[in-house]
Amino acid sequence: MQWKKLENIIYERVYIMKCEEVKEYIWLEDEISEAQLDSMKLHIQKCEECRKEYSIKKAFESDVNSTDYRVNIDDMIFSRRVLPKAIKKNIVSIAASFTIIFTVGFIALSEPVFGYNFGARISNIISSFRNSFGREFVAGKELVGSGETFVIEGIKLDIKSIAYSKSDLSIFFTLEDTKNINNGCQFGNILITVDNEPCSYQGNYGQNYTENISFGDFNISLKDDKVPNEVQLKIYDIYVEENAFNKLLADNGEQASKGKTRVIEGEWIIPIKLDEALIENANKHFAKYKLDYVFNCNDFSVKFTELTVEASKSEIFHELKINNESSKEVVGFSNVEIYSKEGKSISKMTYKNGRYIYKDQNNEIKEVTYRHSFPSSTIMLPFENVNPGKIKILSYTTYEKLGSIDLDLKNLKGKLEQHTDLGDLSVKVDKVSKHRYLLDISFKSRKITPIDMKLISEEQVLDYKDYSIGGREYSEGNIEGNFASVNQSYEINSLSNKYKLEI
Amino acid sequence: MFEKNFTEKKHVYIKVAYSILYDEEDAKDVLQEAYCEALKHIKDLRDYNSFDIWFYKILINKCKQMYKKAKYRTKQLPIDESTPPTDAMFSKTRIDEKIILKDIIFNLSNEHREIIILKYFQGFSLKEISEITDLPLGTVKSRLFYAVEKIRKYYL
Repeated sequence: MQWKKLENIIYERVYIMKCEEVKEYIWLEDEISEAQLDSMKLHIQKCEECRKEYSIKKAFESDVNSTDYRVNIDDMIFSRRVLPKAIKKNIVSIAASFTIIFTVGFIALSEPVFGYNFGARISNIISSFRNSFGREFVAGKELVGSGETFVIEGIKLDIKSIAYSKSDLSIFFTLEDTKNINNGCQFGNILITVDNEPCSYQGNYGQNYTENISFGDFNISLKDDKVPNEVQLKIYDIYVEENAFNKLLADNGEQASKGKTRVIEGEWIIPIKLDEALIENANKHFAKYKLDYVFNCNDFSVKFTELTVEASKSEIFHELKINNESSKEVVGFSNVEIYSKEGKSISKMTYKNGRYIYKDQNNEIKEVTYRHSFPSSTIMLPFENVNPGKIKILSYTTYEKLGSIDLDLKNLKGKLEQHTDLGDLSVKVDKVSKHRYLLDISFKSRKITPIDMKLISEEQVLDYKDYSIGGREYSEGNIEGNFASVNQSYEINSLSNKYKLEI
Repeated sequence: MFEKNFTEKKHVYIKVAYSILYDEEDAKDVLQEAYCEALKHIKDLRDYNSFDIWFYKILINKCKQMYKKAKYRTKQLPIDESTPPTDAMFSKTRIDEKIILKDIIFNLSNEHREIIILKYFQGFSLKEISEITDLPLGTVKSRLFYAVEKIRKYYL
């Protein structure tokens, strides 16, 4: 103690700290020596400006201590992913094979299977599935029904639960090889139809697993708030990786990717049964408000048309026009506030990269997170039982569209390298099965800009209206030197000259 | 040993990933990938006492890879305030006075955010942060002060 005091005195005498130094040390309190710390504190006692800086640091520290980034991962299963990348690529790009679906010859199986009792393990998975959509199903169990069990070539498919909310339908399933519990399974090509119309969906095909059960989920966007009469899951391939789980347990997955993968091909139709009570409950939690407001900014205008509030989410629909032309340009909005008709702030949200912070009616700050791949024409809001009068939006996000390139794949053998006005394009085609090709497209822009690439096929427009094949998600976007580049894989069912690449 | 270390700290790891990415699903993906990567290379780790720093290094790298995705590079443009609102819908209101630290940190750049999280939320020393992020000590220090400068403005 004596020594410490002496040290302070020596330090003070030998080196008197300047304000600039103190301001720096304040933020590095735990990095400096005791002598420096004491000297800093002595300075703070004497200097009002530094005292103010110190109080800022303390206020910040107190905020740090009271800030908690809460993410529940209790239900998360940590496991090495099993299937090789090449197969995953194929599985992700499924859309092209959808056109072959209208053929007949399905086998619908409804054998009850084994009376398996998954017990607590499955309830954990279901709970993680509910979280995995990124949206809380506020009305909880009321909106979740259960499905049936099917067996396809010895692979047991269990539709564990079906969640319905007016504009969305979510299906959670497990897959298990009944002949060998050590095998891992996942869907290859599938199609989901709602009243015989192919529909867009997000989710995964079963590549998640726990112990010896693979599981996955699909989230389907329903059109026009129409209650579907018939929802079907059409399966074309199932990938089975032999001994995936055995190896995983034996050597922490080191050899997992070397396992043999067997593909079971066919066409199976699985009916997804919607319980009437499920639909009724979803309708109870639904409210729709008409909006009629045009917002002009620079060269584009946005017309807000509708606000819907439902149990799992709320959306503001808008139409975008650029230079008076209708456009499907992606625009997102940030900092959204909703006021009641009386002008009272009902909720205040900050939407940036998948998160809202808002204040509820009791002035409590709340946070909502969601998956990033929400439909671009909507803004998702937390559910509030309100009567909205005004909506305020403080900022928007937009993408720059570079243009489009026509792709002639008819005469393409192997690889195509093309230098265009937009940038450098590289296209590689591999035949993966009798009617399917894997298209690897790589594009390098001459500008550093976010790139969103989609492949449009005239042939498939007929079946999918304006739906792009392969989806719009980035697979590997990165900036190299002065370029921005993006690589994407698409699965297509024919080689023709009718492809267009929009960038 | 690996499982034990990981399980004990997985709740802290997810917080770090989430506080950097601000996206629950991405944070979970990043943690899952970091877990796989760590599992693959655990045999290369000589000193088990440094597991934590070693794992953070993997985790931060995975977060950096995630930044490269399109959604982390979208432009946030302020709406042109000179456009007169024709409806009360877009009228100005007073900005909320209460400081929400999460918002302040979110508004920092990715590089600055990760340093602030590691330093003040996880309590790592500058040297440790330099090791985790693979950045020279001087760069870590300058990034820290730049970030601090931005944060303190909200407290003035």
